[in-house]
Amino acid sequence: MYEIGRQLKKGVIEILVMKLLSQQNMYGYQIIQTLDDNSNGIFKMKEGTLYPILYRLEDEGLIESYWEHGLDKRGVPRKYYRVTVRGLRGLDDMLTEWKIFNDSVNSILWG
Amino acid sequence: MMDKIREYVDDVVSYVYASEAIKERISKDLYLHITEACSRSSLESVLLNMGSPQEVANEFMEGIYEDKKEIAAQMYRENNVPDTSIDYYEYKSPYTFLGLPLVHIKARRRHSSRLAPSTAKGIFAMGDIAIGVFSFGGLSLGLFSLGGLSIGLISLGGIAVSALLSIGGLAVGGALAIGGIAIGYGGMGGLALGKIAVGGLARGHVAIGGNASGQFVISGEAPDYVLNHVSKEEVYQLIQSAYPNLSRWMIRIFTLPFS
Repeated sequence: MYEIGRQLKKGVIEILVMKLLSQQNMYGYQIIQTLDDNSNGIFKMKEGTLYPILYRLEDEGLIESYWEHGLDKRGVPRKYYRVTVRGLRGLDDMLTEWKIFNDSVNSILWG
Repeated sequence: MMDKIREYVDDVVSYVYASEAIKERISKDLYLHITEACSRSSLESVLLNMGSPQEVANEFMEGIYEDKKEIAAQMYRENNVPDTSIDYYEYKSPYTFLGLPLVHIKARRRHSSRLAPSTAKGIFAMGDIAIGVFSFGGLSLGLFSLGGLSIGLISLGGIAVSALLSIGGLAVGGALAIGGIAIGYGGMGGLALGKIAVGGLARGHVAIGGNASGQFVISGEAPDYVLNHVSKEEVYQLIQSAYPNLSRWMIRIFTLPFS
């Protein structure tokens, strides 16, 4: 993977995580799987990439976590993440920024 | 299996340089994550995909710290090694011009005779030693320099040395020096030495002052050595007669103290 690819992914990953969580509450493993499945493997994230993003979003109050216990036979609790009200507003801002950014880049690249 | 997961997670965390709170967070989440992954795949294959504990730890740290300096600082803290980077306050603007940062500020937080002074280099430089087009510092070198000891084209400071204009306690200037002690082609100050010297004690080819001596002289006399009676025009005429080719605006500078 070219460095530019890594940097581009790094730039959008927060928006993608926020978008997924705005559609459905998810746990970490599920986020990684969903990103992988929905992007045909383009966004194959490592644990060390995802969790620090979740920590940052949680610390900024954009998402919050909660535990669900014993919902399956494994008996291991899952830590789910959901978007807060502040996070929804933040996501709107992110999407607006992304649209401006995307349009500008496309306008330069493709005229 | 749980023991193996715990062992792997502990290994990862042992390579992470971060606060205890972050390590705790990583430990819990990673444990759950691997447990979850193991419900779909074998532990061996999960761990193989993740990589070595050190690799995973590095990925976490790259995610946690946007600036690699923060990782280094955390490593220093955990190993009780003095971090020299925290001895300084430093700001370097991302914009550069001619290979120099537009603004570079670097100053020691604490000073000691055993510690080398910080040096800032930029278009605008500020530091213990500042080198730049515009420099401000204990020792400043630049076209326009301001500092304890300033050296440049135009310098202002305790000791100011310049090619063009120096202003300072001790001012040494190529063209014009103004200060307590002023030495230059033109010197204006308490003690003025120069081709044209204007001051309390003035020594020069043209000397104008309370106690002046030279070839072209206006001097005060004992007991009070005042020059209240001397006009701008007299001073102007004297300098012009000594240096007829000197520009008028330059001569006018030497007439400024007079009414």
